[in-house]
Amino acid sequence: MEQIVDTLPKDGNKRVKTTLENFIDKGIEIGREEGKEIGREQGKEANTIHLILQTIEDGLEVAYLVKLFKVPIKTIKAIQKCHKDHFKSKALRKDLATELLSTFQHLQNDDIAKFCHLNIEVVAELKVELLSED
Amino acid sequence: MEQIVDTLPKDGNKRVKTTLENFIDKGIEIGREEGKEIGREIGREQGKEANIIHLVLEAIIQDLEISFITKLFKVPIKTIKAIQKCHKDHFKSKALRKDLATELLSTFQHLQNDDIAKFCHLNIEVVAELKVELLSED
Repeated sequence: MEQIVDTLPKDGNKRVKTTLENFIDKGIEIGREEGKEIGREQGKEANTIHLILQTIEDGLEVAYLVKLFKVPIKTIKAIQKCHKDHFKSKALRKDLATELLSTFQHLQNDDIAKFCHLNIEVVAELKVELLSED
Repeated sequence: MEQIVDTLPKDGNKRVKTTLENFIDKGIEIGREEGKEIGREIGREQGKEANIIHLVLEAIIQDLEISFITKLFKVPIKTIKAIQKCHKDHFKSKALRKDLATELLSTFQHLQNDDIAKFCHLNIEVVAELKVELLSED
C-alpha cells in the first residue's frame, strides 16, 4: 500500500492517504452491519443459556423450561446435571459443552468455555470431534 | 480518485487502475474486519435484549408469576405489566401498544426501533416518533 502512495507526486500523498481512510471507514460501516447480525444471534443464545441456569437455580420445573426457552429437554438436563454437581466434574462439563455445541448454532466457543468452566481449546476440540461425527 | 489517476503518466494508467481497485478492496477489507468486531459487540447486546422481551412475553403466556419474571429477567415490574396488558388485550389497542413501546424504549438501552416495532405491532416511524418524544422529555 505504501509503495503505491510513494509512486505518486509528493503533494498528492496526503490526499491519497485520506482516500484510503475513507475506504477503511466504508469497510467499517459494512463490517459493522454484518457484525451486528452475527452478534444478535450470538447474544440471544448466550443470554438463553444463562437464563436457563438461573431458572434451574430458582427451581422451575424442567417442563416449564422447555416451553419457555424452546430448548431440547436433553440440553436443559445437561445444564441441570452440572448445576447439581456444582460444575465440579470435568466429564459432565464436557458433556454439557458438546450438548450446547449441538443445540445452538451461533454460540461462540468462548461463550461455551466460560459457561462450562472449560478452556477454549477443549471446546474447540469438542467442536472438531462433533463435526467429524456428522 | 480519477484526478489522482490522471496525474500519472498515461501508459501507467491501466496498471494503476487495477492497483487502485486492489487499493479500494484492501481498504474496505481492513475496515470490514474492524467493523465486524465492533458490530458483533453491539449486536450481542441488541440480541440479548430482543431475546428478553420475547421471553418475558412467553413467560406471561405460560402464566408465570410476575415476581418470578422480574427476578429472572431483571426487568422492572412496570415493563412486565405493560407487556401483560397488551397480551391480555391480544395486542389490539394501539394506545396500549404505544405505551408498551414507550416503556420498552425507556427500559432497554440497546433495543432497536425495528425490534420494538415488530414486538408492539407498530410502524417503525411511530416508534421513532415515540423515541423523539421520550428524548425531548429528558
